[in-house]
Amino acid sequence: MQLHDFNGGIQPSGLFWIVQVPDDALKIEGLTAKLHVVNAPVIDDFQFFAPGGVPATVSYDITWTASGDVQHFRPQSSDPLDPTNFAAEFRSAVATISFTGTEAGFTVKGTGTSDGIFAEMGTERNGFFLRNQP
Amino acid sequence: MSDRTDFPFWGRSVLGQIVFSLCFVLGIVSLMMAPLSGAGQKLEQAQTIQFQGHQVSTATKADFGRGELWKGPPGSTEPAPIPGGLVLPPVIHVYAPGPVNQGFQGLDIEPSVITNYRGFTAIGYPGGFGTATDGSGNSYDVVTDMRVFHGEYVSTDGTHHRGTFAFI
Repeated sequence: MQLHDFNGGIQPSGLFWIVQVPDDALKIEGLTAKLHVVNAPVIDDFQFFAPGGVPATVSYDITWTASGDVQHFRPQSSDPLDPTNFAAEFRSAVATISFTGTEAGFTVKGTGTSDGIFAEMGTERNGFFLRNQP
Repeated sequence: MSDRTDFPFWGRSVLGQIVFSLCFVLGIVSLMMAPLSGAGQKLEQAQTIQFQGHQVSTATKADFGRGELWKGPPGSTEPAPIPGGLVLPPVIHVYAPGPVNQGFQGLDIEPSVITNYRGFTAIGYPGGFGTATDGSGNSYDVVTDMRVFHGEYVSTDGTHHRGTFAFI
């Protein structure tokens, strides 16, 4: 079984797998959010946390379409290490993606949907903005 | 994919197939770990889960020697990671929100990997069975964890910024 694992890498700070994109890459209109990413620099790790990753780029379009009622989440612990230590207003959603991944000697294109799995979207706050929110 | 048995790592054989993960391991993490409940649990006691055949746990205070967030150099506009996360080891500063009955951590779990953050967040695990193809015509299953964060944050040097970040 061959595995390609394109990801944004981990920064020295521990910041996990994120790449800054232009603000206008994200369009939010009503219950729909569309993200258009072009040639984001990533690495292909081939295996989870395995050495020997190679530079790659990914381009993709992903659309989240929300539905249903807003769910309100409030911290269930004041401990910053607790995974519930955030506040949010989220709706369930379905995410669909089309993508291209490219590295030396290899290109792949594909699609996917979160239908039957999980997606959500909305607004949230944590850390400083949680502690200082009235 | 209409239910979990259609997903590449659940139920169906992947023999003879090639798995392509656009970005994610956490998709794989969450698909392969036993359900756990993260809500409000005592962090002095780690939550142990199965990950790719290995015992791993959620981070506790004992996993952090510094006892505070990582501080970047003056002028750094990089967001700071969330303090907690999963321990492989090492600690990875990310959680796996989603329905417990699908092997995720729960719906009330932090989706952001950025702390001191306020804004729009979206997360989804789009995938597909044989829905990717490479230049040689090989077919791949797709497992992803896609997120986006758009808003304001306090960077690692303590200054206030706005930005948009794709989780890949």
